[in-house]
This record gives sequence, C-alpha cells and structure tokens, in this order.
Amino acid sequence: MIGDTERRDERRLATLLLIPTLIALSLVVVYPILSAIARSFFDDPIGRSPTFVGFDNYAQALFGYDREDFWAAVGNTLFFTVVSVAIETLLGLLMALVMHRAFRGRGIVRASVLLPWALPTAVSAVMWGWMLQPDGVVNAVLGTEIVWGGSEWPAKWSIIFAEVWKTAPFVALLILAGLQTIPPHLYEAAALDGASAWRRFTSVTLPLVKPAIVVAVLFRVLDALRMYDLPQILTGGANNTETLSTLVVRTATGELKQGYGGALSTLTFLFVFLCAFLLIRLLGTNVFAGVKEAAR
Amino acid sequence: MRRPGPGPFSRAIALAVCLVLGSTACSGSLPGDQDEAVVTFAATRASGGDLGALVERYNQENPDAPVRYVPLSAEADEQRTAMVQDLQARTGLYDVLYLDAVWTAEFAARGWLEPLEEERFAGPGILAAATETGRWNGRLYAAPFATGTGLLFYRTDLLDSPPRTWAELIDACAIAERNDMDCYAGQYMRYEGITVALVEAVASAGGEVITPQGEVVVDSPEGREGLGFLVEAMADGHIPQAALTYNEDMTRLAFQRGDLLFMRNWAFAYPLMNSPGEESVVQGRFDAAPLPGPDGPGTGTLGGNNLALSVHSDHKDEALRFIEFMQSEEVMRDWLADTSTPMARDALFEDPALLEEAPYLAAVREGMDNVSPRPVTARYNDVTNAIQKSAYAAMTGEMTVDEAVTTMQEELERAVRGT
Repeated sequence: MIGDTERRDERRLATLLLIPTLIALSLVVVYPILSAIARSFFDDPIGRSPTFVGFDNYAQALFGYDREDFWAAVGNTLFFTVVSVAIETLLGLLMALVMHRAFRGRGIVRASVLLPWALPTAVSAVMWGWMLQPDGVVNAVLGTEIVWGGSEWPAKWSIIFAEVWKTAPFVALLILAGLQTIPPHLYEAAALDGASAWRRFTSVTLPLVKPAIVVAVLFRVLDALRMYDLPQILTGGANNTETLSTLVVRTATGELKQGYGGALSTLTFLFVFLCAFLLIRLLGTNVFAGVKEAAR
Repeated sequence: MRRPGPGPFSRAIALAVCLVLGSTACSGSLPGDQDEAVVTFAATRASGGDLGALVERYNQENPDAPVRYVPLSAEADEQRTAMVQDLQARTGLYDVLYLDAVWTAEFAARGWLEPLEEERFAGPGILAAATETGRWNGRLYAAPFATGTGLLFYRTDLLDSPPRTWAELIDACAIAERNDMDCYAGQYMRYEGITVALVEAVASAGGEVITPQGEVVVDSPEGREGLGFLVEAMADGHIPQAALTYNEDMTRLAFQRGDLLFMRNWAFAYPLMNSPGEESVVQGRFDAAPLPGPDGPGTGTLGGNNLALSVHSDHKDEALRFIEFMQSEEVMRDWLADTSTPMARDALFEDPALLEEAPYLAAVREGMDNVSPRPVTARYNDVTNAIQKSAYAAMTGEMTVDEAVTTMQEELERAVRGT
C-alpha cells in the first residue's frame, strides 16, 4: 500500500509534469478563443480603432442584415453533414463487412479502400474539380453534359460525392476495428441455434459493432460540421454551397472583419458544441443500451 | 527593428543539410547569401516570367543594398492574405509589395502604404490610366508596373473583322452555330472575374457601378443594360452554360480547343494560344481587338500590378531605389518581352520591335484610351463580393436583371458605408 504522503507527492509531480502542456494548450487554444470572443464585441472600421458595440455583431448575423448569409451557411452545413454522414456510414459499414471477410487479395482491397482517406482533402478537391469540369471525365462516363459547378444541386451533390468518397474509408476503418473485436464463437453459437445470416447480422454483428459506429458517426459529424476545403475549392461558396467555416474565413481573412468574423466563429463554435452535445446525449444512451443488451 | 537572420541553430541545420546533400548541391546558394539582403520583395510566384532573375540582376548592379525575392502564392487571394498578415503584425518583413491594382485603396486607407512621390514614380512616360490604379484620395501609393485591359479575341479564319458593337457580336453568333461551336465567353465563375465582367458591361453601356466620389449608381438604365446584355446572351445560348465555371485559364482553354468564336480575356492568353503544339488548334487563326459595346467600342476594366512600399519597412530609401529600377524602361521592356504582359509605359506600346513580337499591344493600347477602373474603395472585398453574388445570381437565372441590380445597389451602398 502507498502511504498518504507518497500519494500526495505523486499527485504534485503529476501536476508539475502537466504544467508545460497546460501552458502550451492555453497559449494555442484558450488564448485565440478568448481573443476572438473579446474581439467580437467590437466593430471593424478602416482608419480608426475599433469601438465597443456590444452584441451588435451577433445580432447582425442572427437576425440583422447578414442573417440570410448566416442561416444559409447553417442550413448548408447541416445538410452536408446529415446527408454525407448518412451515406458514409452505410457505405463504410458495407466496406468494413467486405474487408472483414477472409479472402484472397484482402490486403490489396484494404489498402485500396483506404487510399482516398490518405489523400489530403485539398488534393482530392482539386482532383474532383478537374473530373467534374463540363468536359471532364465524370460527364464523359455518365454521357451527360451537366455543368457541375454551375447550379445549386449539381454543385451540392458534387461536394457530397467528394466528401463521401474521401471519408467513407475512415468510417470503414473504425467499424472494421469494431468487427474484429467480436468473438467468433458468438457466430458459431448463433449458427448452431439455427439463426440465418441476416439474423446473425442484426442480432450479433450490429449490436456489438454499434459502439464503433457511434464513435465513427460522432467523429464524422464533428468533422463535417467544420467542412471547409471541399466547398472552398470546388465551388468557392457559389450556388448556395457556403458552409459556416468558409463564411468565417471569408469574413475574417478576406474582408478583414475581425469583429464580425469573431462573432461568426464564436457562433460556429457554439453551434458545433451544441450539435456534439445533442449527439452524445442521443447516441450515448444507445451505446449503453447496446452494451447492456449484448451483456445479457 | 532588426530583421531576424538565421541564428546559430539554423546555421547548424543548414550546415548539416549541406553536408548531407554534398558540396555540389549547395555551392552557389549558401544561406549566407541571403543574410545580406537589405530589402525584401514580396510578390507572386506565378507571372509567366522570373521575378527572381530580375532581383538577381538588380543585386549585381547594387551590391550595397541587395534585395531578396519572397515568392508568395500564385493565387491572388493568398498573396493578399500573406501581405495583410505581415502588415497587421507590423513586422516589416516585407518591404516592397507587388500589389494587385484593386488592393491599393484598402491598403492605403488602412495606413499600410507609404505615399510615393508623383514625379519620381508616375512621371511622364508612365501611362496615366495605370497611374490611376496606384492612387487613393489624390495621393500616389503604388508605382505603376504591369497593366492591361480586357480584349476581345476572335477567330480570323471565320471572320473578316471583329465586331465593334454587341449587336454585331450577337449577329456573328450565327457563324458559330454553323460551325458547331459556342459563340462567346468570358469569366463568369463566382470570383473576381465576374466582377470584371459586370464592371466592363456596365461601363460599356455608359454607366458606372460606383463613382470616383464613392456614390453607388449601378441601379440605373445603364446598369440594367450592361447586366442585361450578359444575362440575355446566356439565356439565348450565345454564352454557353459552362462559362459559369470559367476563370481566365479555362476560358482560354475553351477558345484554343476551338470551342469558341469569341472570348473576352487578358493579353496573357495571346502568346499561350499562339505557341506551337497540340494544345492549341487556333495558332495564327485568331486576333485580339478592343471590347465591343452597345453602340460602338466598349469599355474594359484595368488590371495590373503595382509596386508599393510598406510603412513598416526599415529600409525605405533602398526599397524605393529598387522600385525605381523595376519601373525603368529597360526592365519593363525585358519583362514585357519575357511575359507578354502589357507594361505601364507609353513608349513600350509604340516600339516597332515589340509590336512585331506582340501585335495585341496595339489593341491593348487602343483599349487603354477608354478604360474604367474597378470601384476604387477601401472596402473592395465587400464590394466585389456583393457584385459577384448578384451578378452570378442573374447569370444563372436565379434572379431577374431587375432584382439583381436592385439588390446589388442596396448591398453596395451598405458595403461602401462600411457598417
């Protein structure tokens, strides 16, 4: 047994060891967030110093002059997130199930499925941009003459394609890890009891892989809510494809409105935080239910 | 403030790198060479020519105050961001700035640029229209360097002479149809290009978007006529749908593939389309003319890059000497010959040797007599965003011309007020 003083010493050492990390974190995380929040209460003049305007910048975004831009960005961000995460999860699950099987060339399949995830998003955005040109390979293969970047829905769908293509492998990877933890004897027992393949999938695989799916969905949702590179490179925000992140960057670094941009980034932060909170509340209880059920 | 040079640690790393790479790789470019630089020149890395070589040439002639070339991104937005970050932080890391013509007003209004002497940097011989792009509130803040205006490229194998009016251009579209090609395209993607297209169309119709006094006047019969021309041409199929995704290069590629009868573009396209190779099917079969307008020649906007001096620079005299060198007729002539960019000196448009090499200079010069700058305002980013939004919405048919012009007027008024 460890004595009380020894434990206290250890705790003090732990604190000491943590201090450098905490300082670094507060410098690179806490300070920028606080300074953005502080700056968001000031206006953005040219040629004089900013003056305090209270919550004007927030009011301007939420229900003032710029409300259309802001709410359009919120709507687009949510739309991209919901649609692409839903498709990614389904595809990811399928890919994981395929990769989980033992067959010849499994290594090659696994490697090639992961390739899109290994590419930087900006690179894949440029690549898709080329393929989606009016005379590009996508139109040639489909035999269509769609101007993908030229109107709202084609532009939105091309962003979703590119997003799903890139991130479904990530979901697949996480789910595959979940699948590999399922002990094979459960399947053998289920088969002995005469459960069909579908029954084994719904009663054994799904409940047990659920925690992995939840983690994947959580990661992906938080990631997708910050979507920046794809809309920025593919459409530049044209045709109603502006997301919260592109709006913040355009305002703060393009138009150099640090006050209004600070308000927008604070709103984005609160929005993403709220989504994450709701999602964890919603999915979190399910995870526990799933674990309990499986334990029974 | 002293500019921080590499410390002993970076020297050690540089030495280690040299040892690894072997002596051949490092000879001639020892890190020590750059230490002596007194002035830095922050400029785009892409402009057809080699700005680094120009700097090298300056350094040979001026060993007492060497200049270092800091290559920035090839994208205008990113160049601006890099410069803005340096200027906001007051580091003075960049002395001489290679400034896009439309940034002058904002940078000057924010107090980031040192005013320049008119006699020294915009004296006789410098093109007056180009000088205007370097001015803000009646003072010169940027020394004119590269310039240019929109040109109408047309296929000489299909047409005898270029159209002088919009009506003639639309009439000629029948020829495009007979040859199974598209008629006309400019840059209508939602970026700076569509701002240029709108300003050119409105100015050609005799109107203005924002007056030099800062009054927004786009909601006018001329404003409607200008935007109306583009929207109608698009609706009638004279401008292909694909042009909604075109920037300068994509328009050029469409024209040199033989897909277009007419194209609005800058002078840079000329030598590229004329250079031999499979890439272009139009070599020797096209020419450039001034832009058309409703009843006669139209009005192009001014493009270009000027040289400005950061207020945070610690070596202003040396920096000004470098700007003077860049503006000299000799350097400008060589730069024109290298990159085919029209330069801000009158004499270079009349030089017979240059004209033979670059016949489009005549059309540029003719266009330069009748140009309209893009709105000169400290809030240029908000202004161009407002123009892009409404103009693009009208081109895609999402808004009528009326709605677009009214919305644009309203948003521009707000952008100019800056609230």
